[in-house]
Amino acid sequence: MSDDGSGPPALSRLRVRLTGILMMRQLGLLFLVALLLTAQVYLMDFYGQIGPGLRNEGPWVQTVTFGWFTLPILVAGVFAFVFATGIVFAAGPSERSFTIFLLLIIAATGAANYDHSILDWFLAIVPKVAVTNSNPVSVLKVLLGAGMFAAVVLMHYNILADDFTRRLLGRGVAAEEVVPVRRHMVRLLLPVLFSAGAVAVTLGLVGEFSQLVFQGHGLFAKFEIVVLGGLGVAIGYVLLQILRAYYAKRKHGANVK
Amino acid sequence: MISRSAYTYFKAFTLLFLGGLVFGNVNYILFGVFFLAFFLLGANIGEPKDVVVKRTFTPRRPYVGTDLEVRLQVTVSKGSGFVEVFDQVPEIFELVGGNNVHLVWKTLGKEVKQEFTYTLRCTRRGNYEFKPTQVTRINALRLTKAVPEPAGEPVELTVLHKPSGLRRMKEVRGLARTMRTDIDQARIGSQSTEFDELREYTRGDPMKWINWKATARVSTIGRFKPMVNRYEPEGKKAVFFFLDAAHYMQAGSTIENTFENTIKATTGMAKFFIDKGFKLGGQFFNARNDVSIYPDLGERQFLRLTQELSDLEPGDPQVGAFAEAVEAAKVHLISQRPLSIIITRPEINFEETLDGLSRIRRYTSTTRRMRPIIVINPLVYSTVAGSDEYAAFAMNILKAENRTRYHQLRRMGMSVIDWDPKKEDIGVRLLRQVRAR
Repeated sequence: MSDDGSGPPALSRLRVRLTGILMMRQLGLLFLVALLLTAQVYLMDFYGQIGPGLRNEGPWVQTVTFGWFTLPILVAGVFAFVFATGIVFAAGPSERSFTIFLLLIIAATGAANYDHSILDWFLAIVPKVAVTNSNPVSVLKVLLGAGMFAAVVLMHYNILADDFTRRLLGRGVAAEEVVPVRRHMVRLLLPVLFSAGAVAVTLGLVGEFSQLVFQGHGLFAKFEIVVLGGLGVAIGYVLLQILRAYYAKRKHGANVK
Repeated sequence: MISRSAYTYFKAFTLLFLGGLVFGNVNYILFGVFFLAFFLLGANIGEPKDVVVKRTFTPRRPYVGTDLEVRLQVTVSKGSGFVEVFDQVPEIFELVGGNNVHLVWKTLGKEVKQEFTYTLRCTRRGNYEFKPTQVTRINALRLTKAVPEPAGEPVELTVLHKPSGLRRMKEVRGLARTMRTDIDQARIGSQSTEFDELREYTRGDPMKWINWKATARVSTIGRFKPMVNRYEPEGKKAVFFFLDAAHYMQAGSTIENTFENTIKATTGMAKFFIDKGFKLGGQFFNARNDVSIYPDLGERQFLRLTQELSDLEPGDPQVGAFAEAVEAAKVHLISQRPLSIIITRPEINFEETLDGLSRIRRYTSTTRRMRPIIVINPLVYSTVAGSDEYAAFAMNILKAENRTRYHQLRRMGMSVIDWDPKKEDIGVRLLRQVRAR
């Protein structure tokens, strides 16, 4: 009961306020996701190799022609898509709704980055449509994509921190010990996200430079990708084994005395 | 084991990586690398390592009703993340201060040391095991599943009854209603170094006992009389307890009942006699596990007795259990001729009680000299009746019915002390045995 006995209890009021703050945070991040996705779509055919009539001619930046009519439609379309999928997660946060949201964002990113595909299996079946270019990597888009995925992960951790706080309170941990949990999580999350983004962007940069140096289209470009793919799977398998061994050791309580 | 969140990120990596392979799209692969790097970095950096927990209990042997302070010192040396420290407390302990579950945050590259204290109140006597402190290392990004792990060793704690305060009345001169042995010296046993008196030499006294100075002084007055030093013999007489631990002794709640009060009283009486230098022995019968305590003296014997009492659990009454207990103690009863204290409810099986008491009388007393036998009868009437008027009336009828039986025991020369644990302490009840002159 409140002091005057009429309003909601103080704790409930605080909870409502915190939920409001969380919602604002989520909407802000959702806006950022939409903005970065729009930028990725806008930068399709950055290298101007798609074909005549589909791009603006210019000395440096050549993009797909988005005129005064198509540009607002594109922005509205991307924002509508992101908000329509994201609001489901923001309103009803759960691991399942997050997975759906993430998969839809990955699908949208896939569409926005399709122009860099070397193996155009998908659109090749439609005659006279060709959106791919010969440059298989775009560091700028990788940067935008990494930022966008970082925002999506932050949205996820807003919910995880909230859930974790509630669980700890339920286990009987004192409120003063639980209050800084979100701060601690975010403080560790930001450098980890930055590092992960830096890894992806650095690799993208290396890729872009190698394209510049080797002109990006060797005789066996497609074959190389298949070889690299096989190598990637092998590395993934080794990493998985290391992880398994690491967690098996952890399970035996080697770190607690 | 990775968590559900980590699984989602791993799925995103797999999807993007495979998409990259299928479409030959390096951008897809790099997005996948972003998720993989996030997962690997998060799982490794966000994991606290090298957790050491030290736990101390003060005091180590607490009494019922007193507070027990538990101090936890947590040190986390490596990694970064949360550490949940949890102490599972046995049910009988009541948390009165602090908290037994805590969360520690470990910052990257900085050792963390934290100390927590919580206070427990011991509500029941017994032996209790505190399981090892449960430590849960929680990944700061929740990318791995948090599994509780034990830290340190389990600790066994014995909660004892605070002995009832029994004391001698020094200021009030009076006549005791019963014979007491609290100043009786043992007839057998070696001499102590405590000087008692000077007396004339008698045949058989060792030569080394002769006090030559005193002999010279006495001899100057009259004829030659060798004087010898007399020392107090080691120890006093023995006291033997027979404690009935049957279920019928347990009237009341699980924490506060007649049986608990009886144990408290026994501890108090044992302390009193041990402090006075008596030998103490005992037989606890009708218990879940019957106990036999060899008569001995000293603080160690008291600790042994309290340990046995704290472990004692009531059991089902057995036919002839009291008589069997007396037979088991027969050797000690004959050789020591102790003061026997029997704590039971005689009215439950009066014939058996009578049989047991007769056996004690037979083994401890002679026709010339009777050894005292005290029967302490814990009354359960007020505990059982509570505030119910009719129950109180029924209990009064029962009380009147039993009175004749107690008279029979008193006629046999035994002291029967009716004691209501709910109304008064055993010390107060025993003091009431003294009649002011």
